[in-house]
Amino acid sequence: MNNKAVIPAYYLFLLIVHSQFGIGVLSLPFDVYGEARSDGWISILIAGGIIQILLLIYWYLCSKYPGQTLFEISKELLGKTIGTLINMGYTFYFIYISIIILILYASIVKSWIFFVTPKWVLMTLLIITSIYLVRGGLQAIVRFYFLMSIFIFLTVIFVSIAHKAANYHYLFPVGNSGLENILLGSKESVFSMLGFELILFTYPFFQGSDRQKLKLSSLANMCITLLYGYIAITAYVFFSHQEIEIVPEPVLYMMKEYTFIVFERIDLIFLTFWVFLVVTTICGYLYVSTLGVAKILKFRHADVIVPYVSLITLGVALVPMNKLAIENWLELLNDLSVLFLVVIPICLIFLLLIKGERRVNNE
Amino acid sequence: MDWKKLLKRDLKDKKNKNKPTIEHSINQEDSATDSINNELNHGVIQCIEDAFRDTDDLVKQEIVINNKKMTYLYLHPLVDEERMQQTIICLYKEVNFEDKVEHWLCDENFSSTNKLQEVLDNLLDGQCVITYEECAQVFILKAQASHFREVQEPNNEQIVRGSHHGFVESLSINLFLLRNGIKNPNLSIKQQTVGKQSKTPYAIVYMQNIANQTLVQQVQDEMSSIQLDSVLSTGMIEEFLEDHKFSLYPQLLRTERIDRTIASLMEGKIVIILDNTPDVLILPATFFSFFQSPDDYNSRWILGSFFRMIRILSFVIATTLPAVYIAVISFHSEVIPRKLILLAKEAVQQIPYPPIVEALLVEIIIELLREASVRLPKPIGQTIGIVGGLVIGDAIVRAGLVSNIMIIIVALTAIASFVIPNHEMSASIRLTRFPLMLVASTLGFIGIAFGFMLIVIHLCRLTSLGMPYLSPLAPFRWKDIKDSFIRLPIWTMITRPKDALPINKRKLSTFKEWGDGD
Repeated sequence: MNNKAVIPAYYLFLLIVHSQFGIGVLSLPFDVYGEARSDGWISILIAGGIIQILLLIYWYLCSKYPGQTLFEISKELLGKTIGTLINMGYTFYFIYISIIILILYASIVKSWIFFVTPKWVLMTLLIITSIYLVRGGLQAIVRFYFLMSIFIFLTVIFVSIAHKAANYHYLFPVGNSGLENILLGSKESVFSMLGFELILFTYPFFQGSDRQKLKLSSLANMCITLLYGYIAITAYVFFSHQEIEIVPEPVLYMMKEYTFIVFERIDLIFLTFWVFLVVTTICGYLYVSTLGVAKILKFRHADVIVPYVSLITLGVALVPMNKLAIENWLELLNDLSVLFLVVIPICLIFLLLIKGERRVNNE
Repeated sequence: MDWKKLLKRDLKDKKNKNKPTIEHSINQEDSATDSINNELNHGVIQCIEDAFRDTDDLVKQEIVINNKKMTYLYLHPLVDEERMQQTIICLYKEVNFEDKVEHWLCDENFSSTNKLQEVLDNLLDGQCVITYEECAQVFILKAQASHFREVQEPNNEQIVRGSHHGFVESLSINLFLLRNGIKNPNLSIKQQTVGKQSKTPYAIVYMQNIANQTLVQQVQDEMSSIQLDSVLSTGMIEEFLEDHKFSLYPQLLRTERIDRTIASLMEGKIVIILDNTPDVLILPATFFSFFQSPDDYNSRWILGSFFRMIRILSFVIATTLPAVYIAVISFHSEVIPRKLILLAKEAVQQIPYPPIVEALLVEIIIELLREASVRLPKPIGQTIGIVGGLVIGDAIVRAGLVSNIMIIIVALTAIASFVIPNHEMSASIRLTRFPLMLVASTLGFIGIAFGFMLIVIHLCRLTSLGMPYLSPLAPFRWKDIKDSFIRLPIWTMITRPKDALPINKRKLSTFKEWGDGD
């Protein structure tokens, strides 16, 4: 079954940028600092390199099966039963990521703006908006992403203001933390940069040649890597070593520091913009999960099941959890990500190579 | 005789139908056919009288020319009686000397038919129907009365520079205005009627060499599928042609301006003109087309772009300003600077109501004033403006019901919503801000963010005649940005916008073309 390519290629860039840029941006510098200290920005660059390699693998897989998403490729390579199992795994993985996005979003909004507003109100709002967007299909999603790109630019501007009070000496000496810690930091930052894997499931919907798509997705990854690196550097030069260890959302604390004539607290305004970026992140995942559910249950129109998938996500996210439980969920996400983003695609590539050789031998 | 049965039958039998020309009937000397014809003529009159038996405005008169009876029928409100009588007297005088009445009846004022349906249609159009003894044809004398207002500048779409012509209620005058503007055989006009009872004529107009035929076909199909009893205005058709019938936003552009219609035709868009309404429908429409005005093109391009941006800004203000104010006052007073916060505190402190109640109160007062002043005669309308704007505005603040900052905010919002040149869009935007105010009062900035997102997603998903509504922003079309929220110089507009999928994409070939001999 061939999927129709209806969306101009450059939207692939937007899809990846928006899926990668989102929930993680607030805490990334802090997360990486825990491992790599002020060399965190190097970790982020290395993480970008790792993601680039993964993108190449994904691209190779997708370009060998034109017009097919991973949901179809897995069945073709592994047979119907195992393929369906893998597809179910991926679907659950994406729903899992959506749940975590919901939880993190609600906890940040709760701790920064609405201390007493119940979580379910915040989550329901996000889910209603997402249902409405995802039901419009990938075309509506990418069009919306394009309009929301302005908020990425605004983020850059807001972050850049911090350079007014920067002390660049905090960065030095570069490489002091040691290679091992820097690599550990890379591992940490890859999880904030998730979203590039959506290419596996949306690749055939975009028009354009394989080379063009590879270029665009690499460009997207490069932009995000540089942007995250820039944000991390800004946070490290703004806060001293003692300070950054106690601010879990350095980007917000940074903005809380400075004031303007017109606005007093731009962190609140930034948080409003950040909500837009959270929606763009979660919608990509919800879209791919509904695609997966539609494939498994053999629905012809994926948009019918969008509300069900979203409501399940909401239901699980509403299960009361303490900080420790959330930590455990994040740990599990890390393990799952290694499995689904690295292990399975590489296995598929090997299978493809072996099968390809066989095919050649048979001929 | 039942006229309905006759309707199904042609006046002539099928043998003669092949040659229904006047010459043919002139040459017929056979008396046998004559008697049949006479009978048929009599039948026609009978049928017409039958069809209009319940109305008094059908006039039937008989004269005798050359010893043969000539009967003419017409609906007197529709007919210019003086003109008609003159033609007939003229005919009467001249025909006495000549023998062939039929010869005279092929004068340019006449046409002939042999179909009963056509006869009835022509009567209703304001023509005079003439039957003549011994003649198989029914003649139709053009004598329509026209009581239409003069072509004048549309009141609701005034401009500073440019043509001050606007459409009027008559379809034929409107078509004349269009033909006069585009002197090109490629301007296609497809005329039909809509409304089972009212049979209102309408015309679908497009440029045959620019417009996309699939879209034209789609419009034609949709128009012919409308099963309304009567169609009174383009607003009624609009509801049938919209892709998203439950949306708040207008998806077809309505205008009374001729220059605007012509410009749209040149972009490959399709125009529907309905009889009895001065506003025409242009489709497909995009969100940004509602923010355009012919003035933008008539002023210098930098100014034109500035006006456009002011209008887009007015859209943002009109939808979000009261919501943002409510959110700031009730949740995020930290956002406003320290010096302003004292001012705001002083203004709000004594008000007994929460900001949302204040805002709704003033908004409703403004909507009431607007609605009242629209329907009132002009002199009283001004009084309403003074009473509403000055007296209520001042008194409500002094009474301590509403803070004066709120008055400023709401007044600013009202002005911003009137900046938008299109009435439908302006109304939709005014309505949009109420739900936003409600979410702002419950969830502050986050509520506004989600409300705004829902609006943007809705706009992203909207289509007009299957074409994306938010084009050229979503989907992004770099080439079409030149005429959206900015207006670049006319000579940069080399390609037509892609909204209507025009066949002929180029508008200009080069910047300027010089003759070879110079």
